[in-house]
Amino acid sequence: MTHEAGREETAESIGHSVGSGAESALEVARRFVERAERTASRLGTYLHRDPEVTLAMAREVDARIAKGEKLSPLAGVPVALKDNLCTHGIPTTCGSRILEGYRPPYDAHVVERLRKAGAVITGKTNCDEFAMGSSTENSAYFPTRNPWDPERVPGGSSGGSAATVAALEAAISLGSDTGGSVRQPAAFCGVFGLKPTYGAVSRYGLVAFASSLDQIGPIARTARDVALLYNAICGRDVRDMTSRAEAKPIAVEDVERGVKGMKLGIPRDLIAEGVDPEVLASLERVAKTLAEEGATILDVTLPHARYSIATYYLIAPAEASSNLARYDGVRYGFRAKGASDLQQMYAVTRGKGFGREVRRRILLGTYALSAGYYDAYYLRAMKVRTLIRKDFTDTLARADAVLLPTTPTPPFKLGEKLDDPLAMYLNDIFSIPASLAGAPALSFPAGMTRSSLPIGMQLVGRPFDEGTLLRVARTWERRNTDALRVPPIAAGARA
Amino acid sequence: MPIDAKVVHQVAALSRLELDPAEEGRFVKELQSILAYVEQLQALDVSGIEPTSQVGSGVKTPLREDRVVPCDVREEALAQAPDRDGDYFRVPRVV
Amino acid sequence: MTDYETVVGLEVHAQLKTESKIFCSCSTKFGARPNSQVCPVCLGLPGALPVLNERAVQFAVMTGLAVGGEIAERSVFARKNYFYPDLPKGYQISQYDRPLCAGGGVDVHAEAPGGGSGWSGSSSRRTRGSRFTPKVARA
Repeated sequence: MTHEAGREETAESIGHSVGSGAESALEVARRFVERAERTASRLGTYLHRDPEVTLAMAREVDARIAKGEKLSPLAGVPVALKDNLCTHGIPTTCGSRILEGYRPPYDAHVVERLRKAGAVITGKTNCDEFAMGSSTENSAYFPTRNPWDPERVPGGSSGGSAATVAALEAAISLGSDTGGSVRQPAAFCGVFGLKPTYGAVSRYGLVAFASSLDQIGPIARTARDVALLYNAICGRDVRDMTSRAEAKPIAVEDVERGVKGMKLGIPRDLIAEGVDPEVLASLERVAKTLAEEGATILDVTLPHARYSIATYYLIAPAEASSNLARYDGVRYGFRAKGASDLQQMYAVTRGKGFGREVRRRILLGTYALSAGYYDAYYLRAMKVRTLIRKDFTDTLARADAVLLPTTPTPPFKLGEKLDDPLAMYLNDIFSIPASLAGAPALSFPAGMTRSSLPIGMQLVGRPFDEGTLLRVARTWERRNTDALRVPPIAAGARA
Repeated sequence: MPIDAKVVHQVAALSRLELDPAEEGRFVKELQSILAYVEQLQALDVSGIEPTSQVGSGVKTPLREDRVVPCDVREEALAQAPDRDGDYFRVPRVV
Repeated sequence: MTDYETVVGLEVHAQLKTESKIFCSCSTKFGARPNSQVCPVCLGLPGALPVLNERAVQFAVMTGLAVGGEIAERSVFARKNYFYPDLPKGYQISQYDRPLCAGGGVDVHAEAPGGGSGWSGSSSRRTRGSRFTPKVARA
């Protein structure tokens, strides 16, 4: 069986070939491990990778198949996990020094599900520290590089997860999305990234950043693969009170149903300025193609969406300041030495253990929650959140999905946005609104710039209507000649 | 509401973050810039609007049956303590 | 001196007789080895989440009814953030401005010492109308 640079290797095709006995999980795992050996250090995709453990998992899957066990469509499929997902006995650092060496004594719910499904874990991917960032430059360890141009960022915070899939070091991956952290790196790396409806996927075992916004999301190279991975992790988990039974698996055949009769709304008011011309051109191309396929394109407005960044950068840091209070050096992780008393131990541990962006957000969040400022900041932001949410509910009564770019620009260069935090935050203008609304949102590859950098488009939908988003993206995918392109760094990798 | 070095100090103390004096000035400027940006929310009329603290509220709260489920993470958890004393996590003196 | 009225406030913490803890399924049995009835949730490990014990809610409602208080159909848990080594998450999950029960009171019958002078008759004191909010016990 030949694999031209792994171009056709999707989770679906691997699942079939392993399930049918055409190849073993071990053969598949070896292939992906070898690719990672070639590119992972250069790209900085992994914080933890252990080929022996990966191959052992693959052998276990083969043993289960040999015993006649009926396995899932993901059996034998190599999957990478963002390093803020708890993996039992495997280092989970969230890209931070404060959790250096920490090995959780339990698996996250989604990890349990993937193990049961027979997926094979390739490793723990690099991310911005505690998921705070849009470039993976805030990892305390090293940055991840964009496989399409290693001088550019892969996006963040799930940069490692997106890059590793784009570079074929894994077939699929899981990231987490709080304000865009699955969708934006997916866009920058030329792959699909889904932020499920809030509550669709259990957060048990996802290290919390902002609890009312966080969702674990699939990253893959095809729309059908996104569906397969989503199906493997969605649904109610009794250990997460916010997880919902309404989140049901998507029938993969339904993804092929096309867009005839669908209404797609473009929020022209939100994309009026600051968007790269090539990104806008891509939006028009996608809209035109979907119209040719039978969809009706409408103009819609999201009047309060332009307040999203301000709203988010009060709510998320506030929640983060509380969620990160447990990193105090008492029970696990880094503890500063030589402190004279408890308070000093706390202050030095956290001062040294957390990086700059994390400390900045903790300060901002604590300020927004403190007495005298709570009403003006946090409470007000929560009210604006209601307005933003209502904009989506109103719009999605008229349209089946909202179509807009994932990011205002193509991937930027490493170091380019590090001097001004606010400039970095402004990148999230298109991804944050769906997070605040709790709505499902999908980024899909929508062509390349003239300099061969990926562009991503985004669909936002009704609660628990991920299926509609995948149908639209699949329709475009069938017409898109760039589908399954492989970045130069991963090309020429022989079977 | 203006944020200055004194406020940053107070907030850092509240959140138990020791700040390097060299970076303090930078933090103050950055926080000022961010807070100036979020000021735009003050212009909105939010009278009568309910705050959203959780999307998906309005759903019946799923409660847990009062039943003991044994859990064996004890040893693995204690083993990772920065300072373990038998059954205890030890910390520097409190007072 | 008789213009002054002594008011004493009592904040009462009562451990609820549940089998498991309020936010996780660990045992509440007294007397076990330290840190032996623990799990990721009550240890405040990264990624753990609380799940509310239905019996604790029932007990709180029963308490509210027993003292004649009002039971809220919708109440809110909030986080009280502070740092202490016995507070693994760095916050306490508590109720603040929308508690499960409010109002109500308890009659306290007190006898005058020696039955003599200086007391003007009233021998019981109701606390009705004061804010009485049984907080759900901490894990």
